[in-house]
Amino acid sequence: MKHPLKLLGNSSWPVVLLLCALTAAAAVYYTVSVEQQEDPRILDRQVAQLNQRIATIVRGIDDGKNIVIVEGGGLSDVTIGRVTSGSVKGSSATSQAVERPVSTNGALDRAPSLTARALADASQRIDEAERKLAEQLEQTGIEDNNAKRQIADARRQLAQAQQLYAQYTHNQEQMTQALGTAVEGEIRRAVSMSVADYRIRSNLTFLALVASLILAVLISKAMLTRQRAAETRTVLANSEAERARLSKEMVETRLAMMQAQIEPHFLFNTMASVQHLIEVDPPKAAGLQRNLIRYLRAAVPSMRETGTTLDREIKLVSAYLGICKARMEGRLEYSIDVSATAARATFPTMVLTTLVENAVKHGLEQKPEGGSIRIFAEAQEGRLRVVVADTGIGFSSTPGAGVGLANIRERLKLLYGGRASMVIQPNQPGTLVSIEIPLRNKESSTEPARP
Amino acid sequence: VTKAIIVDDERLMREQLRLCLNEAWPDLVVCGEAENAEGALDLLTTEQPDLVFLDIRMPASSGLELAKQIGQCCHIVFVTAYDQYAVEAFERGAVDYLMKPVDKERLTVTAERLRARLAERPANLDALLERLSTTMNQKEPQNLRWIQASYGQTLRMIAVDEVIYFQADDKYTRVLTEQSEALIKKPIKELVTELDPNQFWQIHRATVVNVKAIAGISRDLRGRQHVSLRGRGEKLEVSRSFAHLFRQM
Repeated sequence: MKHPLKLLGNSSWPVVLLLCALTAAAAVYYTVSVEQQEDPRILDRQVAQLNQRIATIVRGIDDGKNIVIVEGGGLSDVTIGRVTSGSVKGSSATSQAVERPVSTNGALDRAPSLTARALADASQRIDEAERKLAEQLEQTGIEDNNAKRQIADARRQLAQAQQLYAQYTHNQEQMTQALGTAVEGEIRRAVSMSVADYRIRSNLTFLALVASLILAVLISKAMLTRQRAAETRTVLANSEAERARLSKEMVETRLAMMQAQIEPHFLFNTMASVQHLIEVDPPKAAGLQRNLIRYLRAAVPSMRETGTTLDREIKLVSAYLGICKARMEGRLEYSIDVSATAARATFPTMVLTTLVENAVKHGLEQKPEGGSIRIFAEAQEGRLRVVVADTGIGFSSTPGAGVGLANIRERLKLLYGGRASMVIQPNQPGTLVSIEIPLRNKESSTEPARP
Repeated sequence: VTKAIIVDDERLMREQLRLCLNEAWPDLVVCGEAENAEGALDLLTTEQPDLVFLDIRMPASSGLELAKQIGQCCHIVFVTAYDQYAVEAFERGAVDYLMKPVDKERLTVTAERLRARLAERPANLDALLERLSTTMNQKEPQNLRWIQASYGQTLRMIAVDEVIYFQADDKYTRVLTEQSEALIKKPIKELVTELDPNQFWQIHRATVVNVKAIAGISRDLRGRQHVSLRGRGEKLEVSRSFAHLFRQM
């Protein structure tokens, strides 16, 4: 079965994490922005701005002219009405609250300031007429009743007009006030409605975000679990393979060790030396032969043991070096310095021999004037350190020397894991190889070497 | 009078050959002995011998190289303890040679043959030497085997087999083994040409990995390949231009 998540592949979890992080960031951003929008101070400021605009409208109405004002606000668009003759028509929301018949004289309505002046003028003229009538009465003593009636009529009419004007003015004030209240109320309502609406909307968005975040987390968790399972499987398979590889290597290195026979070149050269010495220097020949036998005994595969003491290895190496010395004569000097504790410690077979053979073959034999080999071993703080240093031609210029060392490295790894080390350093001139392994004593170490 | 010189780095060997020659070829005059190629060339000019007994294995320059230099100046008799390839080549090329330890009977036969041949011009050995040096060099690949790297103050030799990968680091190259990390001055571009291309693959402009240390290849969402290693935890990126190395078979 192909799991849909499988399509995403094994290494998709960084993407999931990224997704989660993005969602979280978005949620945080939204929350912060909603809080900002909900800040009451901001609302107050917006309402104050609107109020100011209403005041402007009211001033416009005060002038008594027809006004059409369209205001764009931050939270809601408010259209404020048109003052017509006798009524205010506005947006649907405001009109109901504000529309109210105002009956006024057409002339007044057309020119209220003119009317006020006309009224004052009329009153003045009536007064003047009355004064003239009184003067006439004084001078002539004739009472003009007709004129008097006319003046009274005019006065009545003026009073009526004044009353009408006062009513108009009063109505207009009332209307303005009502409009103001209605607009303000409407704006407040609109603002609060839009805020509520906004709250609901942002809450919904926030919920959606939280939901998607949870979903993302769940998905990533599922994927992580899957991946972990896959990784565990891989690790298991790898360690299995590693174990198989190690055991194969173990067999191979053991085989390589078994097959590492004495080099024929070395054997024949030594035999040639023995043959010659028998004729010219029999005691020396006997010594050389003794060394050769000792060396062969250890080097013949069937005679090797898997574990041995450093002491035995040193004996083998000194036999080998004895042979080399007999052949190379003055070109080879060597010294062996092994502490008593180190001598008793266990040491893997043929390791030291390989190192010394390398030193002779690739270090000193290649150098016309020869050189020296120093073998040094000490036990310290639970570690055994064995050093083989030569003053030969040095490492980099001797090809073919790597095989034996690679074998040693593999064997040390198999025997001691990470607790063994082999370090190869230039010796100026020559090469210095030091091996460090955990110090272990063999119970049978006191036993003498096999005869 | 026939004159000969003996070239061998071991005194005992020279002595033994001289004694044997005394018995098997009494009228041969051994006019000089040399323990290396340099000394041999000196003797060749001063003594002008008819014969050179030449050990194949010698320090510094090998007997084969010396033989090349001698050319057709005089007859050469190769001496060897055990060199399978060389002996086969000598047999095929009908060249005179002696095996150590030198056997008196065999030396007598060789001496007779040489006596008969001395009048002739020395054989041209160039072709044989060429063949021999290639067969002997084949055992030793020319690729870099050791890297001299500094760990802080100390220098160490690292076998290239031990290296898990190389990583370019500015002008230097980092050398990473299972347990250690070192820096060498050689830039990775130069290093690549010296490494065995079958053992080390370049997977990135800055990365060369030991094939033996590759544990697996994985692919990420963007389709990029990563190499996981045996012995080290990190993963190495494979750049697109080297992705063909890991194409599925």
